[in-house]
Amino acid sequence: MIVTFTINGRSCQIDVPGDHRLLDVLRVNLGLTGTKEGCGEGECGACSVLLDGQVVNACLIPVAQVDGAQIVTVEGLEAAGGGPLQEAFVALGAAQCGSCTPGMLMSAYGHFLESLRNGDDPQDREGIRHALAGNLCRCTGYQKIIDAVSKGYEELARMPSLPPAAPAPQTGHNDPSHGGGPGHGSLTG
Amino acid sequence: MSVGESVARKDGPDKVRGLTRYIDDHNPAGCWFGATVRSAIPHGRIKNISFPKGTRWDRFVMATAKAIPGRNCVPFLTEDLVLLADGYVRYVNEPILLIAGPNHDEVERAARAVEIDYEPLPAILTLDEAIAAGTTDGCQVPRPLHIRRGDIEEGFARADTIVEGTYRVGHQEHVYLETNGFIAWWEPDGRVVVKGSMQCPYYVQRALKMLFALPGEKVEVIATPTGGAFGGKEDFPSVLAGHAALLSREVGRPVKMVYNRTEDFTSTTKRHPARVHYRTGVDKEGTFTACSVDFVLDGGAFITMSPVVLSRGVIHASGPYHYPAIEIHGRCYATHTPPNGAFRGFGVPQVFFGIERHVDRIAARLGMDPVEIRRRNLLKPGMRTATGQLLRDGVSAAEVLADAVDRSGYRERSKRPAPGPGEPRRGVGLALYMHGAGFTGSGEARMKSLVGMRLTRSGRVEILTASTDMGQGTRTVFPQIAARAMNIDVDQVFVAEPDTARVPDSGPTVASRTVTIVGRVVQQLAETLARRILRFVAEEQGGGPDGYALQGTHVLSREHGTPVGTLADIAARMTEASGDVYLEQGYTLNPDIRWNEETHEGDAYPVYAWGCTVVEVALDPDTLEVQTTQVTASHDIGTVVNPVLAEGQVEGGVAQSIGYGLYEEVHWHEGRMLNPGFTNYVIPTSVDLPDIDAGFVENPFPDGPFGAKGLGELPIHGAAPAIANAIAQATGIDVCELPVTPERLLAASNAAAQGARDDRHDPASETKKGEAT
Amino acid sequence: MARSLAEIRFYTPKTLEEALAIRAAERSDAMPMAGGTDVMVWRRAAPDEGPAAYLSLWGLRELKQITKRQSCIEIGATATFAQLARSPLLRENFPALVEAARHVGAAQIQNRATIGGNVVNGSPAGDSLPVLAVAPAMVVLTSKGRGTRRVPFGAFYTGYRQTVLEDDELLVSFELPLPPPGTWSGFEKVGSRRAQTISKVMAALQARLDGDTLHGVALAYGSVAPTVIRLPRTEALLEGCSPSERLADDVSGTLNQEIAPIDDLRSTAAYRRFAAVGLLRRLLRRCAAAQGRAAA
Ligand SMILES: Cc1cc2nc3c(=O)[nH]c(=O)nc-3n(C[C@H](O)[C@H](O)[C@H](O)COP(=O)(O)OP(=O)(O)OC[C@H]3O[C@@H](n4cnc5c(N)ncnc54)[C@H](O)[C@@H]3O)c2cc1C
Ligand code: FES
Ligand code: FES
Repeated sequence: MIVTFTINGRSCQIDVPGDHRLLDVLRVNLGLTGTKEGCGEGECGACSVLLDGQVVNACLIPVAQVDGAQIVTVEGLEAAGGGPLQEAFVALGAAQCGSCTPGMLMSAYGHFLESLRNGDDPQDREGIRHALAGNLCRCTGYQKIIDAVSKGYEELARMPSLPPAAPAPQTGHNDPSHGGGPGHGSLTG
Repeated sequence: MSVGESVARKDGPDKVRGLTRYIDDHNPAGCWFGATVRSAIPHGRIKNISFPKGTRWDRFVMATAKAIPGRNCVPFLTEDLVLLADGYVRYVNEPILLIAGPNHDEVERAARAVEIDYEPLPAILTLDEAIAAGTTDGCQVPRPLHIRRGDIEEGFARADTIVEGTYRVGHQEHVYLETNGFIAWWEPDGRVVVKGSMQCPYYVQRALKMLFALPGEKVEVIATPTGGAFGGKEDFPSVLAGHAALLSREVGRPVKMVYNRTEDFTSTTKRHPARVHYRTGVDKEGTFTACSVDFVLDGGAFITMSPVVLSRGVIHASGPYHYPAIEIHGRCYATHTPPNGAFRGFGVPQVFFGIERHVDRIAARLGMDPVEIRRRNLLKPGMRTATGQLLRDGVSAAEVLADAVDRSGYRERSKRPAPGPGEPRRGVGLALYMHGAGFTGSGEARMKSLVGMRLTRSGRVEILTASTDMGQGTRTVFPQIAARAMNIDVDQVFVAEPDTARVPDSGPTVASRTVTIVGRVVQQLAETLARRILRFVAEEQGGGPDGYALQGTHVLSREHGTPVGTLADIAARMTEASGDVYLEQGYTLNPDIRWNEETHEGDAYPVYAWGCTVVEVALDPDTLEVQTTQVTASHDIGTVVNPVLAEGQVEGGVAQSIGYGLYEEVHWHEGRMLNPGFTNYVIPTSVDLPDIDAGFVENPFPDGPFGAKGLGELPIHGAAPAIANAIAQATGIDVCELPVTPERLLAASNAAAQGARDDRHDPASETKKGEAT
Repeated sequence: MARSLAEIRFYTPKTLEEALAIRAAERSDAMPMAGGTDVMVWRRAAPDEGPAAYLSLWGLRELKQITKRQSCIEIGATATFAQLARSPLLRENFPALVEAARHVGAAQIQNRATIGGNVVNGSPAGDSLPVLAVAPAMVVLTSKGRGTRRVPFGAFYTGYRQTVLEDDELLVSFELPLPPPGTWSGFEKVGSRRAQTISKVMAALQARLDGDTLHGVALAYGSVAPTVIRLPRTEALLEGCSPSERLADDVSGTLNQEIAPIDDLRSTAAYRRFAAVGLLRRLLRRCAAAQGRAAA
């Protein structure tokens, strides 16, 4: 079936069986391999992406259900406003092997957006721990991840204009790492 | 500069942008996919393999053991492991047949359709069964190990009290977040190339040489960024690389094999289950007089890494303590279960759960403070370990104990008032431990770890080693060491991709050896390279090499303190003049190290690193759920090369140890793993762990790079026994098995209550209990 | 890397009417999928046994609402647990449901998992089930041919993962009768860790506090029997008592007669029995504290 959605700010149309996992469409059809598969059953969060501003596991989403949706993956996180989190992860040593990192970042940013929407304080440390509970990390003990998320939120809060809840459109269309992979997806700006 | 600084990891920016390409992120053109048909039974003969109708078998390519051109053997310490079962299976999920096709899902479906008839044979499935049976059909075991020092009989005769205990641990799964994966292809010139997630490129090369009867130069192994390993990618990748390479040879195209989580759980190695028995004599003051240890491991169906796991366990089984007399006996049994393998700590977490729980039980028996009994018996410089190794410098058991006790507030926390109704019961426990870095005994002398270093034309320094970065930071720490040795900017230094066609054999990325062993060679090479550069400058500019110094990105004249040129310019001229500026050097083990492999006597390791972990737990009286509420760790790893990375290693190790202590358990039924997924194999999430305070005591090691010892494994030893001790303190329940699940706590407390009731009826049991607790 | 042999059909209706028409035509050939957090896991675990088609309910906006009616709160079947957790209406009237919603998986799951999916899946470990049992909810089912019927929650399950849902029906909503003033409700769960965990045991309690005594007590447990169960005899013992932690131990004998837990991969029958009493202790302790606050 033909599914149309926005990925990292660009619109995308793709012809795939509707039950295919969003994760495979991203990784195989669109060549966006930043989103990882750690379990394929919703337990580890390595495949976390933002779907209409909410964090979800791409391994549990049939692509038919994202028709018309806006998706942000780690490749589009910076453009969507999550850069400060990425910088904090590097600075504070929150990424070790890096397998959980893309998913962790998407959850962290999802929690920030969620807090903005609900008028909650994203900085609450227990709140951060809960927000990341669906993302397993085996390397770090989560300590540096939580520290980095907290620092990233600080930077985000300092930004003159808070990022839009929906991802900002992205420029830079012809970067091969952003699509046109081996699959049959077509991306239009 | 640089060493001692928290340089941000060099692969960080790519990792946070999703640009790092792990093995599953590669899809070479025309690549086929491979799948594995595995044994359904734990032990038996294969009678027939059939390919039922309903599948277009002509669309697939298959390979069995018959297709292997060389030996059907994946060599480790012994040569017993087979790449593919040949008519006979020894564990559930042993690989039997490989199948490849152009479409991943279709290949998996075809693999499920293959039918195999077996003639089942009786199977031995647990350690207890193996001990009872004595031998396990079709399986070999490593030789038993024995250590003896001092007069055991005299020691026990002198004791005022003798305390005994048996401690048990089960399997633990690594749970690297990236599963095992490989891509293999054959070049037209007959070379095989494999690329994948691994710790030990040269182990993989060795296996492929044997499997395909090829010389080393015909086997190229490339390590992709490794998404976590923890020992789990020390041994198993040699098997998977062999499978992918064999299929690729049959198909004539690249073949990709990346396990899904289920297959990774069911079919790859785990930490060895173990049972360890301690019998310790102690005098009235609490000083140990003698100790007798019996350590048994379940190796699974093949020997693979078990001899060294056993050896490390045996060497560390005495703990960080001194005994006038000690005997340690270690044996490994075989079971018809998947071979157990390398896992961070390598046999040592098993014995430290035993010894550290045991020491607390001795203290309780004597009514002594757990800190005091440890202080009284711990190893100090000038003492000998169980293997007879004379400890000279770098012994920090006392320091890490004091540091962790102080910073954690252990004493105040031990004296909490009793909780009110419904309030959690709190307990605090500690564990003291050490870990020998590098290979045991003269292993590093045999290994010789070759490292290469190149000055590029653009004045950058390239480090060439086979050490992979699986998250621990090799790609960052090596440049720090080289930069410090040369007094140049850390950005000037980079690490080559581990590719056996390019990098020399610096040994496997295991045994906490990367920084202290390989890093030492990096340091020496960097010093040599710096001298060579200065000599060149002196020849060019006049004067002696001592008149010049490297600094940042430049060479300075010492006399004037002014730059005489950039490294880039000088490097360009050097290469012009003398070609490729490339140095290579091996590791030389301190010649004073003496080790007798037969008797396990002598200097087991060049140096030990030391640690103490204090854990506070809260136990919910309504559900017996245990939550860790505070962790304080103190480690002596010598000089800390990169504090943030080092803390990260400690925090991660503590987390895995908390998992081992409280949550992680493999359930089996008839040799089959019942919980091969994250739903039922439970590891801690972000809400299950407390903040972890990771501190360091720096006691430099003269033979390490700028004083660094090994770190990777050490922090996994402490939290699990500390948790058990904390729970025992909070509840009075005598915890002797991991993980301490609420179910196990309930059963133990019911058993204790039952015991207490029985005691009231049977006064004789009082004395019996006095003998053996 | 999913590549199916025969392509699986995927329906994405935009209205309930459309969905019911497809359901009537396809019957058991098309499996309804709301958030997919159960269905997509089965699809992976048993790739050879999946249905010929999926019928997505995710796009049906009309099933996502949480609304106050005359005498009940109506919760659309495809409302997610994230929605439930944030709903002011539920916070005010059914705090136990909010607590249960917060216990489901973690953020990613809560953003997709629906209450209808939880109920139709029918796992005895489904976290929303005990709360719906004590409310007690009315389950609203609709089909194209036969229209709408209302089934009391207690009659919805006929056995282990067996329900009265017919293969032309969809679950469209739940109706939770507005609790009388002074009603307290709470949910407690014990799993193998603190988040993203399947329940070993969970319990929900709803009762009206009259002075310091409990009335109209409803108590339900999950993961202690083939389906979620109410405990009528224990409820009767609690009736008229003043909530306290002691009370849980007093009724523990009857409680243990009413539950029938088993040993499985996640726990033991003995532990489930122990924790079942412990959870009641927690609930009664919390209830007593709430009553104390109300009295103060
Ligand atoms: C990682 C993970 C963690 C989880 N943790 C928990 C947990 O803590 N607690 C818990 O209770 N559950 C948990 N679950 C299970 C699952 O998330 C819940 O059962 C969820 O509520 C299912 O809702 P869904 O919309 O995703 O259902 P789906 O998967 O879409 O459907 C489930 C079943 O219901 C049917 N169905 C769905 N909606 C309707 C309808 N309106 N009418 C008729 N039939 C319908 C489907 O055909 C299917 O049979 C977890 C799942 C995962 C993957
Ligand atoms: S891969 Fe999707 S949650 Fe693990
Ligand atoms: S950094 Fe390796 S799993 Fe998190």
